[in-house]
Amino acid sequence: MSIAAAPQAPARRPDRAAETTQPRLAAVPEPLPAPLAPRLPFVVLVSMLLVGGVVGLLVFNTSMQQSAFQEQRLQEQATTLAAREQALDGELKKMEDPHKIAAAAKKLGMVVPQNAAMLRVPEAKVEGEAVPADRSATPPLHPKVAKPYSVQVAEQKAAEAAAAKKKAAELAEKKRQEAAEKQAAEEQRTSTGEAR
Amino acid sequence: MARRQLQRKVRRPARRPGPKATQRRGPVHIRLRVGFILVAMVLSVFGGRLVQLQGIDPHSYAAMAAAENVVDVVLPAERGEILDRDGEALADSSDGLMVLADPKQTKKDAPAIAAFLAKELGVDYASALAKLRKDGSRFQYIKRQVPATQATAAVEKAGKEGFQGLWTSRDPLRNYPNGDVAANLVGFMGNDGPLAGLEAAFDKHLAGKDGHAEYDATSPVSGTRMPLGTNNRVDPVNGNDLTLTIDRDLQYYVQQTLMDAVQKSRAESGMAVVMDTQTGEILSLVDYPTFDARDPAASPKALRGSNALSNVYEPGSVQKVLTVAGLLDQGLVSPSTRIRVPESYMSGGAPIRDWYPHGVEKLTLAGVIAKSSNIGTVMAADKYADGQLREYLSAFGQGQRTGLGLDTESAGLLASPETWNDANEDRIDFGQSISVNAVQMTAALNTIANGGVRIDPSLIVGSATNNSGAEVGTDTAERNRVVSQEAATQTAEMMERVINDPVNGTAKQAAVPGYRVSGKTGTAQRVNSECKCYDGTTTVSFGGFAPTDDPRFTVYVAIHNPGNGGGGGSVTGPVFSQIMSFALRRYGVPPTGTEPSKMPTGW
Repeated sequence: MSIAAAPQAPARRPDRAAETTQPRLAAVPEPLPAPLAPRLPFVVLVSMLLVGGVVGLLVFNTSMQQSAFQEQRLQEQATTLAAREQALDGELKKMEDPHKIAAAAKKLGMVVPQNAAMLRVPEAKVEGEAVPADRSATPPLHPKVAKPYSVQVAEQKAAEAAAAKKKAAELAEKKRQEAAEKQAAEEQRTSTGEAR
Repeated sequence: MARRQLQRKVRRPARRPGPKATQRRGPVHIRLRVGFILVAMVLSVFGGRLVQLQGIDPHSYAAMAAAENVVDVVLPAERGEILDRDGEALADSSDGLMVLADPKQTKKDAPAIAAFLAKELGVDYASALAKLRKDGSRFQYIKRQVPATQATAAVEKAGKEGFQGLWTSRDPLRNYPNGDVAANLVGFMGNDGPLAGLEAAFDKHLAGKDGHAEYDATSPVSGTRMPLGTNNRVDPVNGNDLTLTIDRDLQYYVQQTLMDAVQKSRAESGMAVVMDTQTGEILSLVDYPTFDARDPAASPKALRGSNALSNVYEPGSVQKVLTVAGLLDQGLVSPSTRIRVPESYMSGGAPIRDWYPHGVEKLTLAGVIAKSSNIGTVMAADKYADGQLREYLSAFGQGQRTGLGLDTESAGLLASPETWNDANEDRIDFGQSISVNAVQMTAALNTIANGGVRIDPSLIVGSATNNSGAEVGTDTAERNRVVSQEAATQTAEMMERVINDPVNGTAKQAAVPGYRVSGKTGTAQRVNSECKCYDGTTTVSFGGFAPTDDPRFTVYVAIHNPGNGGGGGSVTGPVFSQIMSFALRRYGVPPTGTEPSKMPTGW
């Protein structure tokens, strides 16, 4: 408030003075012609900088985004290729499964030797006994065992337990019947006793 | 106030020249005041809002701003592989994918998409439908651990059929390329974690630590990263591999051979262990029946582990080797000690008999072992001072866990010094009234093979720490002398007579042509867990090593309850021979070429 009002007062004072004292009027010395800065180039420069900056930022940002998309695409491609490689590797490993190799070997008629002799080349010596290979040391391939033995045992046990339970139940039933008969007989006896 | 008055004073004269203007716009101070009030009102609204945003509840707004388009994804750590000694994978991980759905997008087509997913991924139609329709959710698991190629194909096909809102994300997959080979040791993974075997025991070692990435995305669904946005990333730490001492191909051969023997003898189950004599490394540890790690649910729960470690049994006559080795170490007997073996021998009020009826027999100590005479062993072992046998057996590792790292291992049962008595000791001499697991027994026999020095058996190359904090492996295996080199050599030669004595030997079937082989048969009565009594069934076993004078492998085979009534020699002897022969050939062990033992077995 005070700041806004203050400059007003001194500004008007000379006016009042002008009304009364004419001779004091003197030409205000013209201000020195300030070197007129060429305004236009400056505005253009600033605008250009501004526009350039904005456009540059935009282009930069867009290209960043573009590369982000590209990165994602390449990443996906890499993932797909890695997955394919792993799938193939997995297949290879499955083929290396000893069960598969043994089956393939058997198909070709190969057997595991029971015993092999060893040759010592420098001494021209044969160590061990070479035995013609037959099938005796070749274990059978993975046979389809329907149920492991222990499961069969467990099942048998379960069946036995069920049978025993049934038997026990029958026995209990029989006992209860007997007890009931006995009780009936006793009741009869007591009632006849009472009658006596 | 004073200032205002002053201002009025100053202004008044100035108004005179322009009365018209004042009338049009009102006096200056009124205008200023109105303007000031307006400005103040606007500023106080701003101020109030500022206080509301920053002072009262700054976090909820920050969180709302952050939640918009910020994606936080878990970067799963890759689980370490389980490898055999040659680096062949017994269990490995591959990039599986999880198929995810955004119910907001899938809701309208839910039945069609559910049917599509049921066909492509084999998911349950009803549960998939419920997930696809879930209200207020933008993220649902449809199926986890799908092979990457299958998942990608399914999602691509969905896109082509016009179904929106399905995508995939990384989800490592566990593979067991060898199926049931070593499954008893390796164990398997369930959907939510490891369920058995080394997978469970070494989970912390194998698992690694998941990382996560948090970033601004152009859309939470597509997950395309917004450049210059938030980007917090913690890289996953992959799990460590676990290299086993197991030889996969040998494991396969042992497994098949054992399976064949168990089936042919109509037995209940069997187990076999192959150990490297000089290092204590377990080259194979086989259980039959076992399970397929790729489909554990197909086998009963009791088979999804290693019974060779968790089930203990009475070892029978193989134990005589340990009894006699201790006696030899003490210098109480020699292989040629003459023993007059009577028909039966009274101990603790009950007679001890041999497995074959005989009159009075004249056997040397070597003959007692070769012929597997209970009475002869008990008579020789009577020379032990009180408590000596127990000390030896404890040093051989009986009654203690072998420390392979699997917590399912049972320690077996060696009577404590308080419950130990003479009648008990007589039976322990020949392997009854004591229970062991197969690896304990193998390690004990290996002590004889290794010149009297026991090596802790190990299953892991190097060292690794299991979940209960025990550091195990070949690096931590300890060596302790149990019996003297001489006692071990004599015992080994007596064991050779078990196989090569044409008259008294009990296991000619265990021979490996061309090699010197030592071994011992065992036929033990089994304790029935229900009645806690001997139920007439047997455990037949054979343990031994080759070559006798420079042993490389110790092999131990035990078969429970053979239905054909066979003994250790006839049922497990041939299995031992096949396995030993295969191992010697596979590792290129030449015959030593020395003369086999001919120490006398009778007199």
